[in-house]
Amino acid sequence: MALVGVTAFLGLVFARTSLDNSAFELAELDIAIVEQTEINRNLNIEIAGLENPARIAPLAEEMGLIIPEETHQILVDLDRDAPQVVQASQEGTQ
Amino acid sequence: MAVVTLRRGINPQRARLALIGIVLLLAWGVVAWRLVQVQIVMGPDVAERGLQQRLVSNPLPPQRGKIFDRNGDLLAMTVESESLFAVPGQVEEPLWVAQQFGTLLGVDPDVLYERLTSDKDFVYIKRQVDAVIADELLALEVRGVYSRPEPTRAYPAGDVASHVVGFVDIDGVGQEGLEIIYEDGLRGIPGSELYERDKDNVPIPQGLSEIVPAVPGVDLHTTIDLPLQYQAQQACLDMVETADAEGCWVVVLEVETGAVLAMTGAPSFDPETRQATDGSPFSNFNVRGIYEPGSTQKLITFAAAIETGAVQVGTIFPDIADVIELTEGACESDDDNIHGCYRDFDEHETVDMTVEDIFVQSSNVGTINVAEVLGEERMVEYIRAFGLGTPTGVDFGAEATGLLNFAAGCETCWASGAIGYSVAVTPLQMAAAYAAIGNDGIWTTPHIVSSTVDAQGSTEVAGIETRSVVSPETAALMRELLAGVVERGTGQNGQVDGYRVGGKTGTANKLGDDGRYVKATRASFVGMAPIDDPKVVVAVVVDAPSHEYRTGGASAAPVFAEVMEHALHRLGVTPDGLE
Repeated sequence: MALVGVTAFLGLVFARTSLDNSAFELAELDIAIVEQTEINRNLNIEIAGLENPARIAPLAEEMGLIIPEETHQILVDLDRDAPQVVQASQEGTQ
Repeated sequence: MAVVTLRRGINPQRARLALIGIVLLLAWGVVAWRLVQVQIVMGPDVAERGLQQRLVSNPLPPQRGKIFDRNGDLLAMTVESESLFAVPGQVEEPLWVAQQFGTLLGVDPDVLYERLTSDKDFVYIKRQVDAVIADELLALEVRGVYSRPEPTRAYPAGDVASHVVGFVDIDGVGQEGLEIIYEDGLRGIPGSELYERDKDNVPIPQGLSEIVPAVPGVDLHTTIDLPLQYQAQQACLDMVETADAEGCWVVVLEVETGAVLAMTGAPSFDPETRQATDGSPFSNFNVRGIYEPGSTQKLITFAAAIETGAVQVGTIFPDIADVIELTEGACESDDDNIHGCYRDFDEHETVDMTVEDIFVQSSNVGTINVAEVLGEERMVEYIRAFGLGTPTGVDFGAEATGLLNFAAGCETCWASGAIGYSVAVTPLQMAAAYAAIGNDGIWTTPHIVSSTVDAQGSTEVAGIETRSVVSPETAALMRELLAGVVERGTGQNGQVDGYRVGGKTGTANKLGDDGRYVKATRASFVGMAPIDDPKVVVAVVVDAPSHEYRTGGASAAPVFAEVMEHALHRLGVTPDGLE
């Protein structure tokens, strides 16, 4: 009888301890979620800043990429079995 | 015998034991009574007092909604930052702190020193500092300096989208642009958290915890195309520099839907610092500024005249001179502010002109002849139908109404109105009027936000009005006239490689502070492409360009061409002007 009582008591202590540990882990996870969410937000801002055309365009220009002054348009008839160029501009007019 | 009797009667040991027993019994009784009193009688009250000491309640601020462009690129978002503050009484070396922190944070050290030596209990060193910088400063472990988290609004597109997005104040409340128009939705609803804490302020596991989560603000999905917005702003900035102009403004509308694809200009401002690039006001001229449109107004005059049958495209007006005098003697005065004398921009011989010639060559005299046939009443009716003199209803605050000056008794206002004086419009109003011609005569409310997104899903923005202004046939005729302006008229600088474009130039003298016209002009160009089935309308206004660039054809048309080309490419519109 005493053995059952002691076992039950120890079981209760163990259960309570496990519950408290889980609560601590949960609290830590909640904090981690908040931190990671904030890191994610900051990374999103950083990505958006890096993708900003006002940042990219001058860099692209520095690397020799320019908006072409002369443009060529090619119209392709996609309805045919083998797509064919049906009209093309010879030279831009800009 | 007597002793024996005494021992039997009062045994001292037993007496003492009995006494101790009674005392203990009484003591236990008192303890038990107190226990009952505390645990049962006072129990609920004491438990409540204990709980109140352990409970802490905090507001949960909502996350302000994000703002996106039409491609899902971020235009505005709220992130956490740190606000550094000090308790002046605790700061031991205020001069050193002011110099170190002031230099690193960009705060005037003298101002900071004054704050740190004040008799206040709390002073800000700087609010909304980048968390990394704040951590570096806090690592110095300066006594009396602390920080607390505070949300701050970030605008990754910087000044590219600032004219549309607007900005919030230091407390995160919308002050301009979409930030203020959609403030109620963007702000969200605050929540609260209630939990038990221990003496170290740490939450007690398994303790009482009640959380009412904050409801985040709605996200705004706009119609703005960020790359196009950038190109439009760059085109404007380039022209401001080239023409030494005071400003330049561009609106790009999607013809069929009224969606604003770009709305920008120069000068601009940084929404995070809330500083204009040249110290000018933040106002978005495209929506808030009004100007006399000059010849771009002729689209409405001619559309009204054709729609009502007053004239046809081929109708010939004989003997069109380069000047017309409606008020006797007005043309004899050198003072341009005597109303009643109207001149064409260039001198020319008196010739017969068709309606098409008048429009393509932008003849003021010819247009006044057309307006005379049309009549003032019908002209004003169509001016209103095209949306002038009324806010467009765009979702942007404090939109200007514009001005229609057709007061009774004004004998020349009808003539002025026909050629774009006596009326004042916003660039957006004029863009919407041209979009109606592009959309087979259907006027559509311009709008910037396409949908709002919250936890329940996406909601389309309502309130987009459409109305028929002129017939599809009249609209098609007007588009051909507009194409003529670009192909052989005053707007040839508005041509776009690979596309057939239509548009109209406008040049109007500015009004001086004394209400009299000055030499400085507002040069404009409004047009659309591809002309047979327009997808995009672009309106450009250049403010006070130098003399060489004073006309719409010289300064606004090149900006139009550049922006229109980018817009057509961005939308993947098939070229229709291949030779």
